[in-house]
Amino acid sequence: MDVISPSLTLYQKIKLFLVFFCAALSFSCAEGEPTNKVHVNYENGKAVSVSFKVEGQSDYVVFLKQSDLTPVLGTMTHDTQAYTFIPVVAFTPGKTYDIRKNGHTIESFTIDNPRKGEKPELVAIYPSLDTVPQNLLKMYFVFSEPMQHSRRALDFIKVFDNTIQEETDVFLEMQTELWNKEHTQLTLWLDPGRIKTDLIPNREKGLPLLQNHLYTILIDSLWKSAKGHSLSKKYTKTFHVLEKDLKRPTVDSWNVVVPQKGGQSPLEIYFDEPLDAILTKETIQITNSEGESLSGVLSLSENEFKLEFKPIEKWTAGKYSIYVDPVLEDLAGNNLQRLFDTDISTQTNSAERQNNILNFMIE
Amino acid sequence: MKKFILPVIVLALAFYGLSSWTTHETSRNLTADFEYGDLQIGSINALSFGPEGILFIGDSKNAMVYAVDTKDTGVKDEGGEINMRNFDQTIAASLGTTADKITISDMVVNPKSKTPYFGVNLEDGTAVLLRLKGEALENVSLKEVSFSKTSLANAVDANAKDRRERPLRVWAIADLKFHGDRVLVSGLSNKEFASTFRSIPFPFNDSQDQTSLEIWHAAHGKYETHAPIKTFDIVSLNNQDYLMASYTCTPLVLFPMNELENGKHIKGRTVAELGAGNSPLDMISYQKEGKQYFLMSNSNRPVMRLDYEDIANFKETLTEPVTEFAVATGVPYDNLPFPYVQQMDNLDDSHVLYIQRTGNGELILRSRSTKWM
Repeated sequence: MDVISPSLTLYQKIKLFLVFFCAALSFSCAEGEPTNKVHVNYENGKAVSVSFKVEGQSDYVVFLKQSDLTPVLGTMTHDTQAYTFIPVVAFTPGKTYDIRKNGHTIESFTIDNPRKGEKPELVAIYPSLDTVPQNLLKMYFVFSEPMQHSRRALDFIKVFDNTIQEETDVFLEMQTELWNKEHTQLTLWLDPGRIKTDLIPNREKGLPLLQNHLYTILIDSLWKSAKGHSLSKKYTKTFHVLEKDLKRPTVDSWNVVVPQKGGQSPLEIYFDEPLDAILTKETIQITNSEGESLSGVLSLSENEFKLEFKPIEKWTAGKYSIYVDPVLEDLAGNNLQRLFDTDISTQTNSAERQNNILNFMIE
Repeated sequence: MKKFILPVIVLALAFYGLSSWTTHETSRNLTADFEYGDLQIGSINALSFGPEGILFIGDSKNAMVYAVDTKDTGVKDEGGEINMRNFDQTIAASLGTTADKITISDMVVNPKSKTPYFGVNLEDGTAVLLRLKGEALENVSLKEVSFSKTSLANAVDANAKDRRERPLRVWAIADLKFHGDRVLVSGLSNKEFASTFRSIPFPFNDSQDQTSLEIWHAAHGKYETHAPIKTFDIVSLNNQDYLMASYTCTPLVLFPMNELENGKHIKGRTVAELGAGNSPLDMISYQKEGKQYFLMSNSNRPVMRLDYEDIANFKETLTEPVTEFAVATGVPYDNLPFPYVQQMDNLDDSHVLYIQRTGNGELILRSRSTKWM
């Protein structure tokens, strides 16, 4: 490369000036246009910001592609190298966005859509038995991973009365849906106003479930996880409706199989009716003679008829208790203290306290 | 001269300091224990404004109630006309996504500035607070904000010495309102079917009253004690404050506020039943031509209007069963021609702001004069 020296001729100087002028001209023509492509920045798989290089400064905004409703909310910053836009919430996988200046799109970018992840599964529906009491109060749906927070659960759940061959509404629509913290477990109530005797909903529409009818619950595969993956398949559950359950759970009618000392075989508790699958494990604990709760694992089986407690330490001889929190409910929402649908004008023993402790001895 | 000027200046400054202190005494006290930082919000389920631009946010996921200083304290008398079409799409676009990936969980209007606020939950569980200034949506940062919080998780059952790790009782927040110096919260359990109603003093401290509200169920002379409240409002009848509650079983029940005490079971009276398959969503009160009315939006019914006088005059006693006839009629209500109103609040003294799903499926945000309601 030649070095420009003071000994250049006038002609050479003019020529050089023109070269620079043209270069500067072409440079200024390109001002405002992206000279280098857009770069989407990902953190933990989420598209948290976009950087783009343009020369000069201007008011750039980001829009969802083909949308003129409103710009995407976020913070636009720039340094000498590039503009960076951080949206209020991460960009949506699979969506395309425009960077616009004065209403004109100067660049577009698309967010990666790693939709190849595992599809969520519906792991369990409780009660798991294929017969339920007519006054069944609630059902649980347990998923393998957190489900989406935007659409309503009942958009994906339909109930079909096989006996009369009609779709039917049995679940109560709630503005606040009842999910666990992880958003993997949904509770649906069968309309309590229809279960409670003589409330207007009960009089107008009767009980949600009809005795001796066969029902099928259909769960649509379009239901998505929080990551945006649809369920792996459609799910169904069919059950038959029996008579009403008008009895409170009573611990005295449970059978307990006591393990032997020195071992770690589980304590087995057999109920005389299936109990609430979620509450049972949370409301029952095994205590020693000091009243201390034993560490161990509780597991339900046999369609929520049986609870096993496997201790972490070996059983030693002594007195033990099975302590039951009185809020434990059966499938009809009857707990140890009261029936779900209580008519206290006829029930004289409503205040009677139920036993909630079962003692056993290991010898 | 100098000797004279100095004390005057000191006195003037002291007076200024004193007057500014008294002027801001209320807000200073309310936000005195606020911290600055990230709320780490889990979800936005219910919103209610308190004094001085303080917004209360109910977060079911974290079982928390937050008090957020929005600094939105400019006073306006009128909310102005609001008419936005495709409102869910607009909110979604402002968050860079489509309407199927968002849900508007609650809407509330700041009674001072008349600015509408919206709680939005996204598909992936992200929660965002937005507000509407003119026709432009703004993000209200919950990551850099002055706030205080209180937990709603129940203590673990204290009846047994528990060494096993057990989940805390967590309540989904059904409704939340600020009244007087308290935040009132109704909660639903995702496990047992029970009624929980909290009365939390604000500024937050360690004490929370928990009241089990007992419905007087008129039909068969029964007491119902355990149905959860879905939505509620505070109404003033004959100079007494009442809690007007709608239950999951749909009756509308009145409880005198001064009887709500910690741990006490109190009895309410059913004033209306609203029909099967229906779920009340929002309740507001307003005045028109010197009369007080009460509006309720519903999931499966048009907006209902009740006259305060009818409620006040509905003097069935709490201890005697109401006749079957009275139960069937209850307090009379009018159905207004506004079906599928999903959110509703007072915009100003003479306007209501609501979000409605129209017949063609469009979601609109609209203000309307109470003259026509």
